[in-house]
Amino acid sequence: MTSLSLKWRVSLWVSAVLVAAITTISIAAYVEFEESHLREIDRTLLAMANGISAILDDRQSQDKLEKEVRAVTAAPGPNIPSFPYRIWMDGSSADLLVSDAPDNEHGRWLRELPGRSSEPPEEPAFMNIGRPHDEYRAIWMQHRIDEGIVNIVVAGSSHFTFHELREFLQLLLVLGTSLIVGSIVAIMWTVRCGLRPIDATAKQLQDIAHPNDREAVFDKKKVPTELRPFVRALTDMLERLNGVLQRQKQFTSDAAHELRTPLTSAKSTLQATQMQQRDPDEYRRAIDNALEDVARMERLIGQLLVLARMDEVNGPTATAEVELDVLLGELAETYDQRARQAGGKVNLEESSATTVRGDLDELVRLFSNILDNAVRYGPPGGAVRVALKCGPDGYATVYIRDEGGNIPPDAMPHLFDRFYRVDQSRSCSTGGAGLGLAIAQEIVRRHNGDILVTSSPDSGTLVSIRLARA
Amino acid sequence: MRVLIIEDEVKIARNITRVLDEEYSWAVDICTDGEDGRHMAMTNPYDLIILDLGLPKIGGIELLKNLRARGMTTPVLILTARDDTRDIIEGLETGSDDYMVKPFDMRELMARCKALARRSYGRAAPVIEIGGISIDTARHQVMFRGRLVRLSAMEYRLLEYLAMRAGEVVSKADIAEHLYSSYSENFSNVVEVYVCSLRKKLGSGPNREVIHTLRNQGYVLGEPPA
Repeated sequence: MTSLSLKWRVSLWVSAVLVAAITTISIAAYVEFEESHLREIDRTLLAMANGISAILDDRQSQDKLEKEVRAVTAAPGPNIPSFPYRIWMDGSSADLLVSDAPDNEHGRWLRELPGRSSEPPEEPAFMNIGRPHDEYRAIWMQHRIDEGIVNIVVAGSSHFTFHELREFLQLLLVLGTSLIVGSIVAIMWTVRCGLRPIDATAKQLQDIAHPNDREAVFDKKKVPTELRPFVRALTDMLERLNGVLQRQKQFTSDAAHELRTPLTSAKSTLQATQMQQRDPDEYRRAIDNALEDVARMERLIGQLLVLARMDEVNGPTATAEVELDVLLGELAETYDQRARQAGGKVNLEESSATTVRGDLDELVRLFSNILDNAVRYGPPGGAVRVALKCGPDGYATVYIRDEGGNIPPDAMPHLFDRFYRVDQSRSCSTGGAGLGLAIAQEIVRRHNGDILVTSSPDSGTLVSIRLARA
Repeated sequence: MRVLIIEDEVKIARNITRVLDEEYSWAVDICTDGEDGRHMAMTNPYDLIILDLGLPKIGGIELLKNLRARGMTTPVLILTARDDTRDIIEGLETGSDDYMVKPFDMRELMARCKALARRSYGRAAPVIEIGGISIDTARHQVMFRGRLVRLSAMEYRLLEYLAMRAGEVVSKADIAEHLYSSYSENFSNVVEVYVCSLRKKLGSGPNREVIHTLRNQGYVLGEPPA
């Protein structure tokens, strides 16, 4: 289920709260209205009952009593019915005084009334009697006189009150409903207006097709204050993504350049040779030349693939226990043979049995790259010294030192950059693409190690690689 | 024609040199970095410069800016692996006359070089006609009164250069500078030898000279200036 839109959710919540509030207020108003009206009648009824009590206390003759009671309960004005009453002695069913005949409708109510409550009330009791559209409010009180206890019931029509109450209820219903409906519409509209900046910001975001567009698109004035942190976070994110994109672009462009150069070289060699009839020696030279370029491309493509694969996965692809001393011994020998062709040498000077956890192929590539650099860029006929030392901290450090030491200080921060070359000219004699150290660093990083290069004319170039021991 | 190639990829530079020498018999100098390139370009009268952008020491664009600021008008063809439109526009707006992206086709590069060299002498048509001689600079063919004339590479080189500057007095030193690279030995009397053999092949007689000699000044192909 998709979640409701923010607009609908806010509208629903506010509307629900509003409906509850309006309903509560209406009910309270209704109850208060009803009670205040009934209190009015009750006061009148109580006054009449008290008046009757006083008359009973001061009673002289039946005739006079009846006359006085009738005067008390008389209608206050024309077109208003008089107040029905009934007065009888407690314990007797005979009426002392009554306004209506027993078979009359009002008289029946007056007679039925005491039966509703089993216990006669100590305090004056008020109750509603009658039927819809002919409602009455009644008071029932007991009064002690010399002869015993007298029951007094006086009823007053509350028809008018209930009529008003019904009208008030109708008014409340109509008013409340229209208020609720109106409010909901108003809320929806307000929420819609309130959320419009979000839509506008979203539209601005939608217009961003390129990370460089962000400056142009975000008009600071149009972004509401509440959305600014959000937009700022978003622009920061774009900034970071742009950086990644730029680096990626630089990498792609460098890679294209590096691949094109040997390709161009091979193509131009072949085309130049093809233009005229040549003797077999020249053809052979051209083929050798082109093959050299192909080998360069092959090497480069291999390195690019290694980098691409390492970019895909974070940790080493296979973790095994690698005997570092054995590995270094073999590599030192291999590169020693290569160095000897130019009169140099590679010597493993210090070593002890050490195992590290990692990927054998990657570790071979790592130390090969460093040794290759040392042999290639060290002075011709120079010695490369390799040492493996184990520290007390559970780490093993490999030192590879050549006699070069000619890396300029301003080149140091860029040594591990992809495609960076200390010697910018692409002379074929040294011919790397500037990926060797980048790959080495990547491998070290994947093994949670450290790689450090120092270079000075006095002590030569020293590469130290620190790896955790298994 | 004399060309300077400023390109750090030695093999590519050598291949272009070889083709320009073999096919056009142009004289070519090679520089592998920007600093050398600037020095060479400033000290020799080249007819064309082929310039790489990613150069050590001084970058191609920087170098070009520098040369144009010093008022050098030699046509420059940028030959680079940078194929972004922005790079191409920047190259052309900095003052290059043409732009080619690596890997390039050797024949196309040659044709462009030829067109640029021709244009730099104010010639739009590839065929130059002077006094009954027709020189097709695209095919390297010379016709004299409807007959095909066979010329050696050096003879053609000389004739083409004189034809490009037809009607102008061209000094011997000028000829030597434009026909030989810095590395070839040049002796000005060799120029005389080639002029002599050209005259013979173009059948000139005492009264209808094609290549005029102005003593102590040089040579003129066609009518000498008054």
